[in-house]
Amino acid sequence: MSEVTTVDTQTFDEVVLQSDVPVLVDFWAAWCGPCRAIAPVLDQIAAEQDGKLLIAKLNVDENPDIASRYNISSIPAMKVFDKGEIVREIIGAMPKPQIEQRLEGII
Amino acid sequence: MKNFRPFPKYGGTKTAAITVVVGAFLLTGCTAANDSPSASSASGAEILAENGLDGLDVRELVETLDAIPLDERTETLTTSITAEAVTLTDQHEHTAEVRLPSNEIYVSVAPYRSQPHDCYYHSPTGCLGELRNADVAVTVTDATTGETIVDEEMRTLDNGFVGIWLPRGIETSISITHDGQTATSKLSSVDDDAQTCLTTMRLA
Repeated sequence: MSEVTTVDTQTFDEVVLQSDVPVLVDFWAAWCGPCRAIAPVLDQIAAEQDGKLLIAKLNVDENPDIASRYNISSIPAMKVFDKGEIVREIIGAMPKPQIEQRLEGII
Repeated sequence: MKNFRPFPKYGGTKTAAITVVVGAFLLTGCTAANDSPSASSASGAEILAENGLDGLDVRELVETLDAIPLDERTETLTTSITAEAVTLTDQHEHTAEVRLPSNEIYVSVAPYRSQPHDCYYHSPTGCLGELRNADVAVTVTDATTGETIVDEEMRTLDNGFVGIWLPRGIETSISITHDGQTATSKLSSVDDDAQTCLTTMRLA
């Protein structure tokens, strides 16, 4: 069963951009309530999509360079990378069905 | 979701909105309204007081948050509205959750012409709509009975949204007109996790 992976500036390229499977990166911060709210939802999706979708979390306060690279101007923000390219973006918190709906074609 | 400028050294964003959501996943149904900070949040009253929001009932709280001018947004408070509660979180990770009335929900609608954004739960302090401080005509009709629920000339807030209190448990049709252009959409207040942020109404 897959779990959410934490990535940072050092591991982002290897874990996210070079992944063999699509990766949903959750850009979050500790002070962001909505980010904390969706965390358990992402945990569930990670477990259910084991092998098909990797879910990674990146703390924007601790890794501002990556956040800046991807123009993260609001959080929670989720971007799905496939073969190093952004293929889907989800802005804001929402219930699990709505997140899954936005991931159609990927999961 | 909350919008922020460059990431503060550590301290959030008051974002906008969006986000907010926090409480969204806590919902368990239409329970009695309680317009006091959640008892489970000892810091709740403190957050409200620190932001000058103490003493407001939940309707006043929601409307006050939504009306905060963009240039008065701070980087230290995030807010989110679900069908069940409005949640405030500060940079210390303290949280205040105030439940919405048991008989109505608050839905924020941002009509647009060219630049929509993805949104499900409204964040008064994070969301930003395209049509700010604009006069609009808003009509909301009960899709089942045809009853007119809202028929008002309104003005979008500085964040580009108009806020509408809807009775719970109904399916409606909403129409917004601005400067000769109109957008229409379905809007539901049925589910406990009903959408509180509508940003897909394109004026045409």
